[in-house]
Amino acid sequence: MKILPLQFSTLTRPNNAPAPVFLTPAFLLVMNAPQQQCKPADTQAAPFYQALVTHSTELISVINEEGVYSYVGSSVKQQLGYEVEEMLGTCAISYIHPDDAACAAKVLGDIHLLQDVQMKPFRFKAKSGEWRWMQCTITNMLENKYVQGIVTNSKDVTEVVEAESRKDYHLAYYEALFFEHPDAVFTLDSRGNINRVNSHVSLITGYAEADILGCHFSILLHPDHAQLAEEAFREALAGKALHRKLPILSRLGEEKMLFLTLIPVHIQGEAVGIQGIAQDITASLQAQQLLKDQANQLHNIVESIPDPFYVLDSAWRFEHANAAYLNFLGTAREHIAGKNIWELYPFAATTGFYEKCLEVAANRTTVYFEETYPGHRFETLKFTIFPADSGIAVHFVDYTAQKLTQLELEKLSLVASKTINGVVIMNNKGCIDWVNDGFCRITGYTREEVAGLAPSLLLQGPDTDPEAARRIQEKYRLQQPFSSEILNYKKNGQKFWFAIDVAPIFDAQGELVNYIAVQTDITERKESEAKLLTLTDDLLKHNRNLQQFAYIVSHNLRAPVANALGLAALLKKLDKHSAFYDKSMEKLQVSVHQLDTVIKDISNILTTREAGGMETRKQVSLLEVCQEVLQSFEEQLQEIGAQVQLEIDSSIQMLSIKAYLYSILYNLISNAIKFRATERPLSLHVAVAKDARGYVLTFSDNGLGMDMRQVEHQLFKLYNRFHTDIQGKGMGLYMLKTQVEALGGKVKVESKLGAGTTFTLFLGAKHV
Amino acid sequence: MYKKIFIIDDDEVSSFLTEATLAEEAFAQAYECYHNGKEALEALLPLLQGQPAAPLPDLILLDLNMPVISGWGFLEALAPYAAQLQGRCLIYILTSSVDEEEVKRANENELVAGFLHKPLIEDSILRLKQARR
Repeated sequence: MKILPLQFSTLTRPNNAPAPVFLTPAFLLVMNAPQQQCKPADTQAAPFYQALVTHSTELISVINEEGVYSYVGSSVKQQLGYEVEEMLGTCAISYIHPDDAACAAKVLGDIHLLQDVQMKPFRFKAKSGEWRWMQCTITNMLENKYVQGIVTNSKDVTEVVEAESRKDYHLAYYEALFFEHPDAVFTLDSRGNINRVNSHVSLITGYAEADILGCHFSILLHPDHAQLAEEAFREALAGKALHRKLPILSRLGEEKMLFLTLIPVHIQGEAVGIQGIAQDITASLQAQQLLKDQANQLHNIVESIPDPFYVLDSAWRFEHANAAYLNFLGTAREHIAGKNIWELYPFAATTGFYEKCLEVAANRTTVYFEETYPGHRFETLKFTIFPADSGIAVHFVDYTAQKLTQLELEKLSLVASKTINGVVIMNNKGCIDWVNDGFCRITGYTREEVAGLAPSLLLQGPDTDPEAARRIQEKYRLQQPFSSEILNYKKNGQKFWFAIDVAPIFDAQGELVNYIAVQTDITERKESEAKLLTLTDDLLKHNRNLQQFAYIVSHNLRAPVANALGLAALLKKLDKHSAFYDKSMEKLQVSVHQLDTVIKDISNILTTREAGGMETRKQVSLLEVCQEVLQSFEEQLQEIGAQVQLEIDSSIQMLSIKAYLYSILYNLISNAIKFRATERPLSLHVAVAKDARGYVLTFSDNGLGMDMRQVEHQLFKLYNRFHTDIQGKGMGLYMLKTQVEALGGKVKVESKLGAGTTFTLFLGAKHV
Repeated sequence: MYKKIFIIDDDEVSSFLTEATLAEEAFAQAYECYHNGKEALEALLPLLQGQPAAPLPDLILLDLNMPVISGWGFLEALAPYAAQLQGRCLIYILTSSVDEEEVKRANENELVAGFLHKPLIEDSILRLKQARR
């Protein structure tokens, strides 16, 4: 709205001040002149006045004491349209506007007391019926003998009154605009000082009117924006009406944002000041900002939903779609915005989704459902459709992967429950949460029986290898996956072998949640393994025996045969009666005898070996056997003055073969006597002690001893001999070793040349 | 004819037979018998270590399987004297063993001139005679 510029003087003029245009001195002069010239009456006077009155712009009339026209000047025709005769004798008041009549009647009534009265303008009815504003001066000439009435001197001032009334009108409009404006209205002079303000200025700024009038506008402004305000003021003053948003500081220091309209005021082309309207838009700005923030926030929320989300209006047009949905479609926002979904994606209209959308639109209730689209990129979608504004909002997730996972889980669970292997799910403490049917079938326990127990404690038993059990515990403790084979016990006490694979399961945070164990019954395999091992062992033994046998044949059997052959050939050439012939014949006998011995030895060795595993074992007292052997050497030992010390508990009983133990001890004592040191009496020490795996027999002498480095690989070989000057055929230690091994034991030798020899026999676990 | 032969064998019958068979053939002037490698070394090493009072044997018949020091041990002890023995003393293995492994092992030893099986038959004696020339 534009306010018309007005002159300051007009604005400041008091409302009821008389207009200076009304009676000018010139007019009064004209009015008064004839009256003063009336007095010298002569014959020429009547036509002169007549003409003057008729052509005057004023109307002169005379009203008698009764208020009736006794004379009306002839200018009435021109001015009001009446004929003079028409008015004579009529009541003067009856022509006056009812609103003004009372006042006029009162003036006429009061004329007796006064000489001249200037009446307020009143409305007078013209011949045409139109009301004319008249200015009238009345003069009391009742006492004048020529007049005998009240002389009225009237002038039509309609134009003047109306013009005056229009000015009042504008002023009233302007004043209303200024003072009653709902915003703050103010005027500034050309220097920027505040001239006038309406009441809202105080309301907005907090300053009383008196505090700011005459002050420069800058006292109200936010100092940061003073420059901007100054520029706006200058611009407006230069003649340009403008709008500005400027912040001010209220008296209480509160910052308010004002929307200002500045209008330059000109008087005769010169800018004299600024008139302004200031609207407090702080609250609306804040509200706008709030609205904007909220919209923004809402947008962000919708955009931040990682799943597709969109809104359709009542005509199924896309109103909003988040980035995830656009990404899902692989399209840009502008391609779908405002478009009808069914037209854009006709396929959608053939689906269950379409039906659901219609349902939500009709019922205005939320629905949740899942739909599968075989052969599509997204096989399974899970929807939430809910009413929004006039349309619907759709949120969905691509459930394809989860669906697959779910199906896979179902399959896995089928495998876990139906597999013939045992499957155990443990909690993070290693206690059983669940076992499958396979586990129950193998172990004989029910699911309820084992819940909460640790499988190791439940299944392991006395024959379980403690080392293997310890390794398993260690793996559990380290939370590492492992595989192991372990001997377990069924509920009925039956032993069986489990191959177990245990995997710790961790959650996304790396925290242990479960162990899963898969167990396979490998008892059969273990048994066949053990059989195979025995078989291999037997084969190895047999192989060794064969090698040994080949060696015996090639060396020990062949030697006497070769001699016999040689001697037989020699004998042919010799004189039968010579002494040399006899000697050779004697040697031939020796050779054949040797051959016989070797054959017997071989037979003996083979029998021992074969029998070792089969001959039934009996409880044998070691002390008794030892004493029996010593008995047979008694004479010899006495002869050489030997000392024998026995350290054998009479209670020691071995499950063994007595003949072998006898033969072993026999060979040891025989050797000790044979290889005794001649310079000192023989001292023998025989002791038996129990160790973890069986009995340990120690046999020590103080005889010749051996250089172990020289003999260690030869000592136990058949027919190996180390002392040429001492009788022997190298059979004893070989037999000893064969027999100890047949009993499942082993032999160790320690010896020192010139000091003695100690044989240690480990008679294995089988003897216990 | 060989001048001096060492027969190293723990088998008394075998030693007797070897000596008797060779004597029958008038094979050598002298025969010395030792029962194992140790005894033989005790006799031989002084001759090799520069005591020329007695000559080296020009033939050694060596058994392998003997107590104390076997035939292999004997050969090992002589290894440092290989150069001295070269061309002056022939060493033949004479054993009852028919073990092929031992034949192979003997052939790999540079001190060994040949491998003979007991008993000494005429072919073997012929080989020894030819080796002498």
